[in-house]
Amino acid sequence: MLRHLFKLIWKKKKTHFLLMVEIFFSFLILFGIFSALIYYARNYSRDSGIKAEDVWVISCDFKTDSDSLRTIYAKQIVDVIRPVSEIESATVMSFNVPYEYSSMTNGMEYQDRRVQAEHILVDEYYPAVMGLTVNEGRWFNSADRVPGKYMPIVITGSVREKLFGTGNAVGEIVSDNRKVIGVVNDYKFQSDYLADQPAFFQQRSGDWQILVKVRTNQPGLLETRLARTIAGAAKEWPFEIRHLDKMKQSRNRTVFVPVLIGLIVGGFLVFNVALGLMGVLWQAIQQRREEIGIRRAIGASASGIVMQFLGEAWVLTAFSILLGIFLAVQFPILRLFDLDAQIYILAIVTAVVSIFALVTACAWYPSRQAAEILPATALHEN
Amino acid sequence: MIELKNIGKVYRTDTIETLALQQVNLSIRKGEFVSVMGPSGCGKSTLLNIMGLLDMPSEGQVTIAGKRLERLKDKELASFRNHNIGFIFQSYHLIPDLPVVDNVELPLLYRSVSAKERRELAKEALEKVGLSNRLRHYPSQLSGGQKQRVAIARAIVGRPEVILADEPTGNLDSAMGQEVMDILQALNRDGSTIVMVTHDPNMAQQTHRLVRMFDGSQVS
Ligand SMILES: Nc1ncnc2c1ncn2[C@@H]1O[C@H](COP(=O)(O)OP(=O)(O)OP(=O)(O)O)[C@@H](O)[C@H]1O
Ligand SMILES: [Mg+2]
Repeated sequence: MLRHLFKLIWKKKKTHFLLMVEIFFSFLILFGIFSALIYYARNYSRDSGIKAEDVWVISCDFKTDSDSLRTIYAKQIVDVIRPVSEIESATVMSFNVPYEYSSMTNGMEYQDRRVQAEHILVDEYYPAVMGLTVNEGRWFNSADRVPGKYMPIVITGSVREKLFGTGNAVGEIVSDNRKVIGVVNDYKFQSDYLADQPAFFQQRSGDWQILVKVRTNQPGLLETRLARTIAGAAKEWPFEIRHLDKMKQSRNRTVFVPVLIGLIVGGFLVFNVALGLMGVLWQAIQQRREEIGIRRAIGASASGIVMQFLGEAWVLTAFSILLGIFLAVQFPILRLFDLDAQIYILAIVTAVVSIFALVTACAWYPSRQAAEILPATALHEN
Repeated sequence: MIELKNIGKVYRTDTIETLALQQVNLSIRKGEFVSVMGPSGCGKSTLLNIMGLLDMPSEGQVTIAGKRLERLKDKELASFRNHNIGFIFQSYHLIPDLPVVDNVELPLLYRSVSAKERRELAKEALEKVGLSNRLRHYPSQLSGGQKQRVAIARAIVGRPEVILADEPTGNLDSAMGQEVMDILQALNRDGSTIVMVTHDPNMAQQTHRLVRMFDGSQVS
């Protein structure tokens, strides 16, 4: 039967060509959409690694370019807010605050391995504010501020994996005279939908974002109170208090909205293809009424006719997406976009299944109609 | 073999109602070669379609090989048609997208017959009608007589007991028509029961029995 279907389709390859091109592109669109969705969903399902709730970001414009002045000014502000009882802890860090649109990366080498990582300047209090866990070694303490032969750094799990694999990390020296003193858990500092980024920390005051962890039932009140306190110490420095969970939400949105738009546009395209497919199939079946009559006369049952037309649609689909699958498989093979191969494979499988489901849904109604053609009537027409 | 009792058939469309058959009683014995004649529009094709289970009568009973057919489900009807009845149509009704040999194989496609056996049986049937040299041709590349012979090969490939032929010589010149008639007679000698609609008294003469129809009724 399969060979029979091949023959029928082969004979009509010219009329089917456009349809095949449409199915091919639908497959690619679905593959793209599913790759993105699976990638985002997988990232989203993972723990973010830090706690953004009840963390506020205080950004001051100290109106100076001098690092040492800024260090002093930031300390003045921290000193007035730390005594506030609702402030659990406060930390000063570089401008690359989680979910902020700023970034500073640096390369690091260990033997022949290399990793590009986010370079974050912090103080002793960062893990307490962000809810980071130290898995190996330790976090910075005030003794680390004394300049020594090596600059102490703390790395995230993914940096550890890339540089040291399963080997020893704490105590190792990496390029530019840095010494690893601890390893913390990975965290998604860009967006919940994006993968963990490798990062390393260096203890250095001199940066000017103040993050505080608060504990209060009345955040509105606390914020006004805090603002007044800071204003007292900040004199003519303009400042701004933002909530880290809101920043996270907005960052999540900027990642997800384009995907949503892609989803809608792609869905619309595929829907159009589906409608076209249905029309083409319907027309093809109208043109083949005589053939349907003959087959029925010769011994095809109504369900046999449905199966034949569905079968033809499936064979046609299989042909159309063959090239698509070949192209899609190149993504994991050539490591395009640096996504996990699993994501692509899952996306290919989902796209194939959905295309077949779509084609089946589109072919079902016309095929049913074909089966309902009365043989005597169909043969009488000619 | 074929028993028609009080068959009536009415075609209803939105605007008109056509009485195609009324009170037809006909009994055809196994191995008989019966011809049906009558003016155009008198219901001959309708009668053949009902005998061949392609159409349901509006009233009456059809019994073929001892089976009451109004009781069968679609699948059973299809299988019954496939195994017991071979159709030859006036306008051939070949599938234009398939080469001759695939057209002939078609009835076997709806049975569990291996591809190899299908091909062999189809070749055998085409040999019987003298077309072994046209296996790979498409219907559009054949003459009328050749198409009709392909249609006959398709009708006999599954070795049905009953062959229903609707004006099998209608589109052919007399020499070609006689050739087709000879094939049918050979099949009949081999045991097939044949019912043939014809307009040609010469052809009718060569059969065992002639049924005459007029305006939906059987007159002799
Ligand atoms: N599918 C149909 N729908 C409506 N009317 C039909 C249908 N098939 C046949 N008829 C009508 O039934 C009557 C008998 O038609 P039928 O085709 O059986 O005639 P016939 O004897 O085979 O004629 P001919 O010798 O021209 O082939 C005609 O009046 C015809 O118009
Ligand atoms: Mg007729």
